[in-house]
Amino acid sequence: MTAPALASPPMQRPRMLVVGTAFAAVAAAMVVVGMIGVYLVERSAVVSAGGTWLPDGVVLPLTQPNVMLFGLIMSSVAIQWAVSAVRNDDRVNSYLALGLTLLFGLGYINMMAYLWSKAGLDVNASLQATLIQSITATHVAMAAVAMVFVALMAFRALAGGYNSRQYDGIAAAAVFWHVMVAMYVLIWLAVYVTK
Amino acid sequence: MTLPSPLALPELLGSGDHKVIGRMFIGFALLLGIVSAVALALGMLGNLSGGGLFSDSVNLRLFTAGQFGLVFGFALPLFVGLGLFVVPLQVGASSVAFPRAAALSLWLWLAGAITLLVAYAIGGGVGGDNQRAIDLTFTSLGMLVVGLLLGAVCIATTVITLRAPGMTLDRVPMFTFSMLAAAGVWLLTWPVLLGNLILLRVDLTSGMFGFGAAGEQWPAVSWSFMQPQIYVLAIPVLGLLGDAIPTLAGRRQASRNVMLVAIGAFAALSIGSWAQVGQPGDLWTEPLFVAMSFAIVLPILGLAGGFGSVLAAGKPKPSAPLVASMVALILLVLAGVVGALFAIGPLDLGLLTALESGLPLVALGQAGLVLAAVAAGAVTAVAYWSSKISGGAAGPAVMLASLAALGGGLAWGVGLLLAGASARFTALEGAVDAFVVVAVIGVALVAASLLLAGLSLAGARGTSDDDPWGTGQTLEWATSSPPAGGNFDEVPAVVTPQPLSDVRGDGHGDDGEESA
Repeated sequence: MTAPALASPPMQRPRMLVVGTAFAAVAAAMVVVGMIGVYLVERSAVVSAGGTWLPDGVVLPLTQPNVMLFGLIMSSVAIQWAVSAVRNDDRVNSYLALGLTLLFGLGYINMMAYLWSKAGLDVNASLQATLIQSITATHVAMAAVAMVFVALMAFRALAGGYNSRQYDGIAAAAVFWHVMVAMYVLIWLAVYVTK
Repeated sequence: MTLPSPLALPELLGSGDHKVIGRMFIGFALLLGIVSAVALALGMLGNLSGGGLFSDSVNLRLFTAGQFGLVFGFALPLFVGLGLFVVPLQVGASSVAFPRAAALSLWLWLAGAITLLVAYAIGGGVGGDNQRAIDLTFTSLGMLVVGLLLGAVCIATTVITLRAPGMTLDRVPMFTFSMLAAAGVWLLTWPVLLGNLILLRVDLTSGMFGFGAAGEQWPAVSWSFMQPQIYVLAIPVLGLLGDAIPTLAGRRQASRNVMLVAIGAFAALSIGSWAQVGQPGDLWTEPLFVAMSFAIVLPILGLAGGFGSVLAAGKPKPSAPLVASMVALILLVLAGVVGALFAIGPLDLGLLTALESGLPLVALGQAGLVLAAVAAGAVTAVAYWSSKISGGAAGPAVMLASLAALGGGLAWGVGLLLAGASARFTALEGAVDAFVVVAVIGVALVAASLLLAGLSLAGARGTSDDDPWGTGQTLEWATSSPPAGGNFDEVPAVVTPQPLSDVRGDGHGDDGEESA
């Protein structure tokens, strides 16, 4: 007995969600890039006038930013792991990877909140504090949006919404997540390393 | 195919139909354009030597409200609306990408616009005296920007993912291509303004150390209304002309790919978020600014030459959309030439002012030329697509609207240019007031052109043919007027950039592609 011939698979639907998310991620990234640009121009003006950028009493440690950097890079690996797992119909690993991504995200927000309290940056006290708090808070908001996106896609995945033929949602969340992590690398360089 | 029945209010408010959303964007944009132009005219009157009708503070608020309104209430939403309406039709799609996001875009933008008007009305805005209203002003501007960006994402995604089979990116209609280029540039540049608004808003509620201080608010956002960023408003105008002129001339566009490259180059050269005059440094002598100011004239002239060649080959009869197209092109060429003069250092035109207010009149005159070109583009769109938007031919007033846009744009731009130049040429000093009055009349004429265009669109009645021009080249003319739900019964095969010309058997494309 021969198996019946299978119909050829339909043409894959255009990856609308991935493309739309990529556009939205670029726009979100440009918000952060623009703010960093203003930050660097203001910093340059103060430094070139012979002053020091950070006000007295403000200390920006590098330990927490480094840990956040490491955590976010790991989160990028984790979400790519989720994409790879769902493409291979490996449900267990995709759930595990999505959960891990969310945990890394939570860890980042927690660490940033700790850093805000530790650095002594009073937004009412100086331009520097206004800039640093605005930039980092905007990035935390971007991270929160990315986490909500990943969580929604994780719920859809749990409901069996994604598989090796249709994984746009997870791929789209991954695109936004990677861009969010790339923006943190910029902040790490411009704000924490350069000081 | 049956025509859609008029929508009831609940259906209208909750609609995810790209045509309904597009129509509402276009209608509200024209309305806000008129309101904003009137506010700007009143604010400009305050620059007369005897003072205007109001106090200095109110004059400044009216002026800035007019600028914000013309960019974020009129020009950008007009093209977002046209993009949401026309782009899915041009690419042969049944809907726009993310229709609910498109609806959110409309309502968020509209809520932002209303909030901005309220904020200005209760003492907010740049130069305002009510702190909470000033806070509200910048929050509402943020809402406007986010709403418009959301619309841009929907349009760009539609172009990338929902094109008909056979429609490669170099075969998309020029308006669709220009909307893709515009959306890309908007997504790269307007978020930078959003970042500025966040910094401004935080600074306003904290210590006012920088951006929130009274004299710093306008510099933080004014780059949006100056060269090169002001050109981003005109990117879709070029694409619109690129579709309308060949159709009205009944000829295929020669060297079409070169034209697409020119539109792309214009878009790239209009990226202006780096040129923030509120930051330290002399922008007007920056090598990049100088190079971009000269370079952007080349694609404008190249496109003008391309359109000229089609017109020479087709010899079309004058019609409302053709006249409006010519007006938009003339104003844009003028704006480009004046903008290039900014790059000539010794002239020092960029910040030239003859007024105590310190407003850079020459730069504002050039921006006025661009905004008037956009207004002429709006008239072109109304005249060209009225059968699709309203279901009938636009009324005769649309021709008058074209002429009002031409006169208005010239008076607005040249009036401010001469007023600014009077700071350099002593012979002109005594005529500053007269030049400002001419500019105010120009702004009023542009408002009149938008009013006439809106009335023509609202008054368009009767059932049109699918292709009332008889020479339509792109897919929007393959569906009914106005398009029914789902847009198409059947999409024609796309093997060249002019699928409808192929269906009619109208000769070969000049770009060498075979007709079907």
